[in-house]
Amino acid sequence: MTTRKGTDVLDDARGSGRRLGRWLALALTTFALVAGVAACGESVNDSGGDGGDKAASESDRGDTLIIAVAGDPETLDAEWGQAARANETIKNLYAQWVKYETKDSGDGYEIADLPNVEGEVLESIDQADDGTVTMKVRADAKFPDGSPITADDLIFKVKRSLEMQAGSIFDFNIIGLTKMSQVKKVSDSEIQFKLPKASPIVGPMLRDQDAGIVDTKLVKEHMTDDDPWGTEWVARNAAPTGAYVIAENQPGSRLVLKANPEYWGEEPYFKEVILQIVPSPDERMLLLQEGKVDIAEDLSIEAAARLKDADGVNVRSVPSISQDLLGFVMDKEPFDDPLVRQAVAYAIPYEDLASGVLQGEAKTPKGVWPQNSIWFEDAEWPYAHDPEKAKELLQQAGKAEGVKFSVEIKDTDADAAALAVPIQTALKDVGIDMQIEELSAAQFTENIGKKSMQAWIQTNLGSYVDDPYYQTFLWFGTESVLNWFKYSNPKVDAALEKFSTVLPEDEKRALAKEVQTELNNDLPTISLGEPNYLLPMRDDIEGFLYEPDGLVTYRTLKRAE
Amino acid sequence: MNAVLQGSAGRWSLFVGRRLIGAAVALLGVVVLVFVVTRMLGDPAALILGPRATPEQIAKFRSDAGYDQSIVVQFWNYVTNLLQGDLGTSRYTQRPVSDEIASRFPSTLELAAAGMILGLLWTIPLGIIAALRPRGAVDRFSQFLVEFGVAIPSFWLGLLLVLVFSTGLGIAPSPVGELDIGATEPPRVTGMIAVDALLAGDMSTFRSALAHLALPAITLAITSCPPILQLTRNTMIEVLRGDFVRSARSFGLPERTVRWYAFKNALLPISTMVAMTFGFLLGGTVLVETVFSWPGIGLYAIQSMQRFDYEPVLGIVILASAVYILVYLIADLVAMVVDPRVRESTS
Repeated sequence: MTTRKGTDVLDDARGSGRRLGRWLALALTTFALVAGVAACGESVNDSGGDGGDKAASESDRGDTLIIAVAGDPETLDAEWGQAARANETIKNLYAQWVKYETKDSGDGYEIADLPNVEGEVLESIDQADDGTVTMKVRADAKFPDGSPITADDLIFKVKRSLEMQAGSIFDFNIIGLTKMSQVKKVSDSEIQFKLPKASPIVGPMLRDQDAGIVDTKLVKEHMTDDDPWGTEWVARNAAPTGAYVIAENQPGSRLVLKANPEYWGEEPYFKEVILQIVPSPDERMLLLQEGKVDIAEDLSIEAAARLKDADGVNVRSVPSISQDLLGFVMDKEPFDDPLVRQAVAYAIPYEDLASGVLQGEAKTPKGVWPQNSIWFEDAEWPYAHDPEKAKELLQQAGKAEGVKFSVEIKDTDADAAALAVPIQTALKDVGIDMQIEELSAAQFTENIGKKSMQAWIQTNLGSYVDDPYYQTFLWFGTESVLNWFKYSNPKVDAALEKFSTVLPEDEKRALAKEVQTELNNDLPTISLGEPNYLLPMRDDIEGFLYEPDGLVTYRTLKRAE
Repeated sequence: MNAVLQGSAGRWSLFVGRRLIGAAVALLGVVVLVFVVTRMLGDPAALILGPRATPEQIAKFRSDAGYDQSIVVQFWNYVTNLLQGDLGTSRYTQRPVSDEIASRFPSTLELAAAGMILGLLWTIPLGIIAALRPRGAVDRFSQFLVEFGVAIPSFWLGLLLVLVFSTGLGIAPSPVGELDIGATEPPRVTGMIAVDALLAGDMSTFRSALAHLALPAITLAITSCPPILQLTRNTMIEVLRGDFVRSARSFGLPERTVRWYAFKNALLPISTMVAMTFGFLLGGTVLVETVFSWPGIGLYAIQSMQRFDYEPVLGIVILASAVYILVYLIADLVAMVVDPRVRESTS
């Protein structure tokens, strides 16, 4: 009995020793295997099989364009394009009524020839003096299934937008189209808008990405009692009509677009566009430097500027109408006093901000209005960095002992955070104590909408449409949604009324100068700098087109042969 | 006999019942906490609708989403729906949160399992060897590894591995997710790319999937599993000093047998720690998924947080907590099965 037990124990012992030995051997082997498998990566990449890597090199990619982006588009429904990632995707998926004419920038890329537009879905667009806009659909405009786009489809688009109360309603409301009774079908290929008066921005608004025409049949197939406009399905799958359609959507991983064979415009060079989701900005930069992707998007100005010296990378730097703004809420102390606003304007070191935080990729301001706007006028702008003048103004305001205020910034706005610190230091030198409050994006957006803060900093703010009516309406009209300053000036409001009509250019320009002079005097906001639009791409990518919306147009891009 | 069985079944039922009630209470606490915290972050309506939204559009959105109701009513509605298995709908993608999670969870599961397997393979053997000669060279080395693994941030190690093995040596693929850019995924069966590729017999995709899995799994194995090594070492040292080990040695049992018995006795706390680590990994390895563009629930949670899309955030936290609690419960049950002392204490 004892012997048997001893034998069992010995067997056990041998077994346990072998097991531990095997375990260790297995551990070592597995780690070696893992390292080996990782090392296989390159040979796998070269295999050309299903697991093969299209990112291996630019020449291998041919007519496939790979863009590294930070995340999924928020929606694929044109009506709800309100965030940058979604907007760019929507712009490339949906054909607009019209598109901007283009011209050579003289710097190796094309730019929009503002404010001229030409038809995309439309063959013609005519506006009568009484505000009747007559539009004719191109005979060759087709949906991806080959069926023609007709007047009914344009009417469906407007109806969907107005009845859904979607984001795209803005495009129609701003030109004076608020109800379906203003829309009339003239023939199978012609419709009319009956606007209250002729609008100067019908073309630019019908070019907006969320004004894109949706595939009526596809949307109708997915309309239900619970979802009368098929929003849930379209948000996930899109109902495209433009140069590209969806080939594959792997949320969190990638979105693949393919050229729409029925697209009637110029055939895109890139037959496939892969939007590869790479959440880390460092990884996006690295992939571009390695040539694994063609374009890296969603980078801060600092990160994009760092790529300028990278081999094989071309950072497109385009003067834009975007601004980095310090906004004042004008009924809040201390900014209800114009002298304090002026003092702040004199205290800011504009040159240092442009060369430092903004990496030399920005212009110093020449007014409240962006100087790259085609409507910029050289109105008086006395503000340059002058701390003594700032102190003098504070003294005049009876605040020689100093001023204290809080400025709110979004925690997702890296450039705003970077700008706030040197501004804080500069203001301290003249006796202004600026507290920086970093808020979540939702909280910030809520506060700025309620105008509950004293001041705020936001970067890269710009209008998608470069027109004095649009810009004044958007930012400075007393009733404007985006008048985050609580700014109200009867002269500006009166000018806005005039801007809303079609004016001769010289009159419009004179009025623009008047408005800009008022804004420079009133200082509802201070431009901290006017950053260039930066887009890092591989140096074999050509055909870049810059439009005021800053959204990349894929159909014009090409790979150098 | 029947009475004994009934007694045993009763004990089990009582134990499981108690644990389930505890789990439900813990889960409710998590739901309350996350619900309140997300609602405190700000109203997402203006952010989701964009800057051009009118007050009327914002009011309509808030009304449609129920954000205009009191937080108590909102919470009640959420919990009522939750009890029916409805995790809500993403405000951005318009997809049910449960669908979004179901499509991404397999990726997290695959990564967590790979990280766990690699972690076990180095931590347990090393912990045992370190315990055999406390303060010896191996023990000191293992302590260094534990401190290194615990101290080093996972995202930093991930970036370092990418820089060395992908960018520098060029022997690992770029960190672009589960497969190379533009690669075709195998037909979806489990949602785990490597497994699906194997099932489809697509060895090229299988190799590619393993290559992409390697660096994130190693990162997790190094940064998440050191507590297992430490616990294995400490428990083994304690057990090896136990009376039964002294008795076994005095009986002249071979050292290997003694060590095996010791290991079996140490297995209980180790298995609990393994379960906790695995539960933690399944909750979404947020930073590692971000560095390696891994399309799991961690990355989804981050993106949803950035967009203030509350429903997915709530859904993921609830799922992560539920998984953690479930894994912990299973570890308790296993302990009850294998260890008579636990059974006794329960009875």
